[in-house]
Amino acid sequence: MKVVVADDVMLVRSGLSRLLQDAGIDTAGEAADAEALLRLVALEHPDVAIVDIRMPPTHTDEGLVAARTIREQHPATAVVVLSQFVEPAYAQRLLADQPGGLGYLLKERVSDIAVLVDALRRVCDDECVIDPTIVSRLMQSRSKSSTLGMLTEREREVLALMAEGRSNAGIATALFVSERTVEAICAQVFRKLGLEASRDDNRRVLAVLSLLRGSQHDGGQAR
Amino acid sequence: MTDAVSRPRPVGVRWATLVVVLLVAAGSAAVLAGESGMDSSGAAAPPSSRPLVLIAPTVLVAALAVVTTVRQDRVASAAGLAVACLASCAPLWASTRWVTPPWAGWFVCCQPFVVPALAAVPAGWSGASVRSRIRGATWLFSLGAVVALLLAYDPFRDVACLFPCLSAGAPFASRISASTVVAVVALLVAAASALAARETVKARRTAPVPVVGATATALAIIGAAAGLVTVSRTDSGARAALQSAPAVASLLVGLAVIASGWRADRVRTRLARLVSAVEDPARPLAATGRTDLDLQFALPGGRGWVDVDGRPVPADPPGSLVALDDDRGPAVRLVASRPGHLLDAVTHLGPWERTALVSAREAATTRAHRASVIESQRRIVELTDRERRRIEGDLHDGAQQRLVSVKLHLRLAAGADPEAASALGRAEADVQAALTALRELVHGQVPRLLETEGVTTALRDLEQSAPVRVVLEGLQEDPGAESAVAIYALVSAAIRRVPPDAGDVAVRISRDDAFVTTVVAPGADVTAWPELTAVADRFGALGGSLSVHWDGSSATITGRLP
Repeated sequence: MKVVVADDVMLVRSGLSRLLQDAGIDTAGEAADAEALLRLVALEHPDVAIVDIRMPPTHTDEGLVAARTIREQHPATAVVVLSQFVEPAYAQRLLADQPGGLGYLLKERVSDIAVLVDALRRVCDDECVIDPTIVSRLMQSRSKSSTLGMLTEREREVLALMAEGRSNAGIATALFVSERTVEAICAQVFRKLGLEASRDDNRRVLAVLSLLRGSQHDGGQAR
Repeated sequence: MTDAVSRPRPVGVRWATLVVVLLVAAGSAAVLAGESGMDSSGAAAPPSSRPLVLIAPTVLVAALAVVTTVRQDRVASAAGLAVACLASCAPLWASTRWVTPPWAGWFVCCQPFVVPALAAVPAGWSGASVRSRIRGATWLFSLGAVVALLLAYDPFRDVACLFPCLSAGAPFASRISASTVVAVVALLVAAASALAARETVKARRTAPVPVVGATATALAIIGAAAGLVTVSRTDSGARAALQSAPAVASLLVGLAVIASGWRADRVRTRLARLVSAVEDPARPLAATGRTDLDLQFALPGGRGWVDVDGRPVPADPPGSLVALDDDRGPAVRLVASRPGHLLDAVTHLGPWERTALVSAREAATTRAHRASVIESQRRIVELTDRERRRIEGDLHDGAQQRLVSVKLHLRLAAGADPEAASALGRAEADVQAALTALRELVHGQVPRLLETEGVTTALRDLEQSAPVRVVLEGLQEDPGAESAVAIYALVSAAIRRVPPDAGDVAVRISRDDAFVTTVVAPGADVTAWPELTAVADRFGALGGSLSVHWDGSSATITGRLP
């Protein structure tokens, strides 16, 4: 897997590169700002770009803008955005249209190499990854649509883990149940969210999308 | 004392005036009826009934005008009006049977005094201190004309004279021809009229426009009539008409004085209404019904001028007039779109109006002070917000980045040295705890989302991440950045105060003349709630207000923003 890292702090950039190297992932390049990142992506065609949301010159949402640009211009390159903000709205802004191949992690997650590497793999598989902290804030809210309100406690847990980018095996481990049970619950979730059975790959993304969109839409209208 | 400060009753005065006018009119009608009865039976009938038809309204109007000017303390104008009335009516009166020679002859002679007397009417507005040489010359010319008439004019010998019954016995009448005397008198009267007209036009800066205009017209009529007398000596009909010209002129000026006095009264009534509306600081100003008349007040200590709301106004606006001074200079001034009648209203303020203006000034000063306090409160809140954002930015860019980097390198070190891994793991957990604490710290009252995405998105985000169910309605319009922060702070404070499972929080934002945010927070404890005090400060700083109502089960918090 070929990865590029964009962060304006050199120590973070180099530390992250070394950590990824230790985990067996090559860093194809580093960038200190959005412009350098876009040049690097155009040059190297990496599988994933890890992008800090705050970058020069305004230190606000340059990373978000760059992430969108990359997804539009280089669809083969997945993006994981690292954010300081827990507000779900930023994740929604990035992911609401087409969440496949995008990840939104809190910045401090980067040292949790297992989570990071898992997230990188997931986005490479065109799935969507949302930070557990943000997912739990989304799930906390009770003002969801009736569609999400129909889910049982267990189904909501599974959906949350799905949004965090975990595989069925990962979910099974986290909930101490068998993988078959997880598959059954997933099927229930998809059915309740009105997602058809034929396109299994996309259904996980669509389920997360309906979680993100909350009360405004339901999963059946996604895409 | 109570009498002095009691409110003036201009309406009552107006009614009384109307009654007097009607009575006098009825009386003169009766006299006219008697006169015409005598006409048919009398042996030597007067040429026409014109004398009384003109005398009655002229005297009536002059009397009312004198009353008007006396009420305004314009003694010069009052005297001028009285003399003009007498001088213009006396020759007409002389032609009736009630006046006998030699009085009738002298009555005829005093007519030229009309000119300087009328000129004194507008001059009364400029004050007694103005003594001009031209006015003196006007009196001199008129006096000359009167003397010439007295000495050399015998109406009995003048074939064109209207008054054949008269015998004045003028000493030089036999030596100078009547036409010469008439010509000399006409010349003097015309010259006096010209000088007086010039003086009148000069008075236009101080006197009301209708009075100046009427006087100038009146003088033009008299001057023209004097000129025409010489040309049409033998035509008795024309002479009769010209003889009446001074009376018509006095009538005109009298009417103008009454009209302008009435308008000045109206300005004073409006001023009184305005003052009573302004002097109470608690009274809503929207109810006063602004007119083209406005009051402005000097702030004590020379800190500029403010309007009735306490808002600063330009130092020297056009059409303004100082109404009240204190020991340090102008204190209150009137501003009008048409300042013509301000002077009359202002120069005759009663004690009640002065007292009211002083308290109105105090009320306006209080409003100005309050506005400046709100403004400084707003600046403090703004400064606090800016400082908080700066600290937040510094923490994100500095401490948070460093901690992330430390965590990263601790992990790297742990990978390189398995023996120290557990100690490094504990350090990493501490760093994570510090990061979490830092995030809680910077996620303050003003979330970044509010700035970048606006209040609707920020509230929706709050709604979605709240641990309780929030029902959000309203808010179509953008209330502006500062109001948005206040509304957000109110909603977020209320949501945080509601215990889990207490019920739904209802948030309703509506717009009438103000942005009204109503939050119904079930189970929210309203006692000892410092966060709500901070929110109330925010609302206060924007000139709004916050009220809390507790009905035993839920708190209803209503915030209003202008």
